[in-house]
Amino acid sequence: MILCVAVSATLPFWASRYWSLLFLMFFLYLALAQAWNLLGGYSGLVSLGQQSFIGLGGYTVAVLSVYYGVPIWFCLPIAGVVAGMFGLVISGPLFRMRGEYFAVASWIVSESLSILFSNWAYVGYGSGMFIKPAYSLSLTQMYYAGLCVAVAAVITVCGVLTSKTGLGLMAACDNETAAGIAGVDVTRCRLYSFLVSALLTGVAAGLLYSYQVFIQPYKAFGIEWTVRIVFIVVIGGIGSIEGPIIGAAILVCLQQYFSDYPSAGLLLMGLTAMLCMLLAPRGIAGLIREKTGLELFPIRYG
Amino acid sequence: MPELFQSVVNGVLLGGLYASIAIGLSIVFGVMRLVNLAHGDLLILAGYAGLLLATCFGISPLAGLVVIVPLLFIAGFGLQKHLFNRTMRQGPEPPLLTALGLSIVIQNTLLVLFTPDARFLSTDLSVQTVRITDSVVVSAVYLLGFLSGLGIIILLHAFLRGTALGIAIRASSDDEQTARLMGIDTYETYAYAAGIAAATAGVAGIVMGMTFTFYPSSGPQYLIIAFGVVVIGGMGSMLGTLTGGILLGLAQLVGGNLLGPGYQLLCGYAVLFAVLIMRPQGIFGGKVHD
Amino acid sequence: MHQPDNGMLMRTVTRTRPVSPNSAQPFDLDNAGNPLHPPITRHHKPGPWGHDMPQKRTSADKSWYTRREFLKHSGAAALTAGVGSMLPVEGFARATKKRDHILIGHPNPSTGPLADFGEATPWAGQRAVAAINAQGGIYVKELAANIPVKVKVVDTESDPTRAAEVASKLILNDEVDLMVVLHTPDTVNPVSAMCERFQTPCISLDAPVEAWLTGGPYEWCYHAFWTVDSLTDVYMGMWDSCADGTNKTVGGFWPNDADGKEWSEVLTRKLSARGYKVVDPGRFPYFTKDYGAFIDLFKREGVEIVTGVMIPPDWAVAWRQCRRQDFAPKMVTMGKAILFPQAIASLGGNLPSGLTCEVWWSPYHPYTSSLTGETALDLCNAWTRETGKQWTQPIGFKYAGFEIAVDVLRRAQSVDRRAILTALGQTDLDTIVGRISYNNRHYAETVLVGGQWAKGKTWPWELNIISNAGQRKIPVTSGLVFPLPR
Repeated sequence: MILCVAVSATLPFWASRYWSLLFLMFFLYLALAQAWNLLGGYSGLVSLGQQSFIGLGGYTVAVLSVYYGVPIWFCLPIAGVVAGMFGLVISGPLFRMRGEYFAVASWIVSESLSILFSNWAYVGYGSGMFIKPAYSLSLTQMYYAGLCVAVAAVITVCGVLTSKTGLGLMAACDNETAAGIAGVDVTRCRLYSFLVSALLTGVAAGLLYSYQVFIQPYKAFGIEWTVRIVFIVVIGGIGSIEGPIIGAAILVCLQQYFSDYPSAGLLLMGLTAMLCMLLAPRGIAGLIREKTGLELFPIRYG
Repeated sequence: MPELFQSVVNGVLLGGLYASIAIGLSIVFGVMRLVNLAHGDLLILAGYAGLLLATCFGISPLAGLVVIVPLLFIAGFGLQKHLFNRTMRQGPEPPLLTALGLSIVIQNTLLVLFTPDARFLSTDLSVQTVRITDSVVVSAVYLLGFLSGLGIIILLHAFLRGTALGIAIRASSDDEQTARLMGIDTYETYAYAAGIAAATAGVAGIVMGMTFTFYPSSGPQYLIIAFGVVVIGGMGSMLGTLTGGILLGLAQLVGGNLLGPGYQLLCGYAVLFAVLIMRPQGIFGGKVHD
Repeated sequence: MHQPDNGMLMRTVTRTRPVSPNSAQPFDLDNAGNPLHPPITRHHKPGPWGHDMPQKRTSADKSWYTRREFLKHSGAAALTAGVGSMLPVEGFARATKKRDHILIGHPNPSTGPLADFGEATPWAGQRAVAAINAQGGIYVKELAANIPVKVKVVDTESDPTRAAEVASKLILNDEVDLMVVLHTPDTVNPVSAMCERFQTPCISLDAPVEAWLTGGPYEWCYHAFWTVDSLTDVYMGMWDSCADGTNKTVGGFWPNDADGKEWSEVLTRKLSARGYKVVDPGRFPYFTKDYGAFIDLFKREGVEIVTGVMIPPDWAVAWRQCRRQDFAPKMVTMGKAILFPQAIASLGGNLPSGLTCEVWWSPYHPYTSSLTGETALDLCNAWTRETGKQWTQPIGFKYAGFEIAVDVLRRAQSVDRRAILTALGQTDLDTIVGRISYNNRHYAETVLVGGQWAKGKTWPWELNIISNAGQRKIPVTSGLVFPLPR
């Protein structure tokens, strides 16, 4: 892994700008997928509402840099913090629900945010905002930022899972009552992972919108984000750290290949995801593990 | 306040349409504890099927129901039997994600086949109105939606109580193990329930297509409406679905009237969220069936 | 269900796969992942992804780290070597690469709610480019030769995010020399933003100037269209001409997009100053289903003139609902939604009769092409001849976009982006939409008149010019039909 990271660090010097862009997208999707996997793969919280944090992260960067002139690099961690704070606020009502209710409720939260932002004059209603200060960022700078975000995401998720909280989470997944008897504060552990996930998503989204320069409420809070993240994790391998890595690579390749026919690409992804659910519930990482026993990060659930 | 009264009337009628959209989700959720995330897309699929019949064969959408309802029944049956029944054994979340995958597949197939242009099933009813009082005018398609919702609910109520299959479905949802002990093939009944749900989605889809413009990507918004109705009214209860639909329709239109047009949907979501937090089993929920 | 923990929080490996059927507990899986006993689907909750036991090594197990390192190096090195060998080594020699054509990128809304705008692509672009290629192409100094111009059209699906993606791919992957983009702020703004970011010259048209300026100030993008200010003058010109017949109360359908925001502000300001009363129900999202509240408000306030800037499908819903609720304004002037015959036809029945809108280009405009000398009328006739369809307003602007592009390339005589940019800034050209000469804010204003739909002779519905205040060169083709026929 360290070798991989070192090699990727030198990429902008010898590859075209387009490849830098592809890798940037790969890093960002990887971070987003790891954050979702923390919730869905390890904590038993299947969330269809990660786009709330994506939109919030993006808008934080937009508002801070355009209206207050904060340099973009400072905006990114703040975006994560804002997303985390929203996660804290929304966890109150959301954690009362389980399973399917939690999933759809988290989706409704993001739809509500979408409507609120599209009616808010401060952020430009439905036409959105242009993050003009981001014009000055070069692709190379963003590439390195993306690399850092992706590496940080993997390290953070590993860190959470090897800690007491992580073990508590996985115990709670197996059997909540038994874990409770064993002394695990299930709610606190879940809240912790929820907040970490929100933070990671916010930072990655901030960088993503710094690249895209243009943010609009319907897309920023759109379900398409969750669809892509879920596909990454399902196809790559849920409940494992390598899964999102593989899945993100596949997504970026598919998007690149099908860029002229995006619907066909999404169609293929949907079919693959359904097939995976039927035939390979552990995803590609699971298949690799079963066939070869190869495991880059031996932290997995199930 | 005649305008408010107009909103109330429209809200109630729209609620009937919402109820007809939600009944399918309610059945699947009540019987199998499965939120079919592709339900909204089945609706849209029906709409496009109606469009196809109208443009290629000149059949009016309402007449086309004769073809669409059986087709969707078969589709729902097949999907449940071969796809969802298998993933349901893995736990509660895989079916959810499989449904998400199905939803995306349907949406993008429609996108590829029909392009993202706006579609509408225009019939003579589209601009007709029924006048109730001087200031309250009711559009014919809204009335049709309400009546179709009412009709579906009454029919299903009778079916679930009266026929052997209906009783088998209720038994499987009440207590699966006992039902199996009694000789009911629960997975087969699940497939029938899903087929019925898809058939109702077919009817609701045609009515929806006659009332509103639709796109391949319109599915999720109807899914959220259906989910809202099911939550507010209570899962598995027919009367609850009707009540939930009416309440949601009222919340949307009256709220939109009071707060402003951009907040129409938000009012509906707020009510839904409030019910989720305070009384998650819904108004008539708590029991599995009537 | 699972082996008890003995109250310990730290888990050690408790079970490995495979599970022999004899010792199977309920809800276990065999090697293939099939359940050994069919589980009750409702009442258990074994964990998110099935029934396996977690295999988690603790940090107390030291061998974890060394094995991990080994696996990392061997697997990752192989992976990196494989991937690295596939990456193309690009870089510094782009400018002097061997080239045989100039590539113009053209993101276009070919599908989606804005598809009517993008209909004339690729016809208009191809026509313009064919003219120059027939003359041998563009002379490029660096290659000391004439090379042809090629256009790459990509569908934005009327979606701003997709437009941004498409634009960045055109710039980074296809390495276009120049971008030509049109059709509402939803297409123009994101593409301009990408061009500005990646420093590619961009020619844009067909989006109101103020909305485009919100993304500025621009260094690499130049724009040509009318301002909402002049649009308001045209609207007021139409309304003033029948002011005695109305109570000067205007109601607006303005959605919450860039156009809606801009038009509502400017119109409200200027109309109030002229003694009109403006009724504004607020911004609303695209695809709003029910406009009952708006219509009630308009009826209550006695609105007799309706305006707005909706997307075509939304206007169809709103106008039908107006009819259903018996709301009959005397004058309707709707921007963006009724510019096209298809949008008009989709209203159905007699609903389109008498609707007025802005006209930015028509066969009656007295301008000619700088490439072939054909008039606006010639171009429309060619369109009808070759496609069998009625003329639409964007045809002229699409053609003009490529006229400007060709002119810029001719003057730049280079594929260097800076040279193209300099030439672009110095544009002063008479195109088929009028004279284009950019000011120091990088835009040029084009002319605008008022039009009205009426039953036509050759086509079901035809657009007539009924008001040309301030633009006397453009002829009026018909008198205003007032009030709106029912």
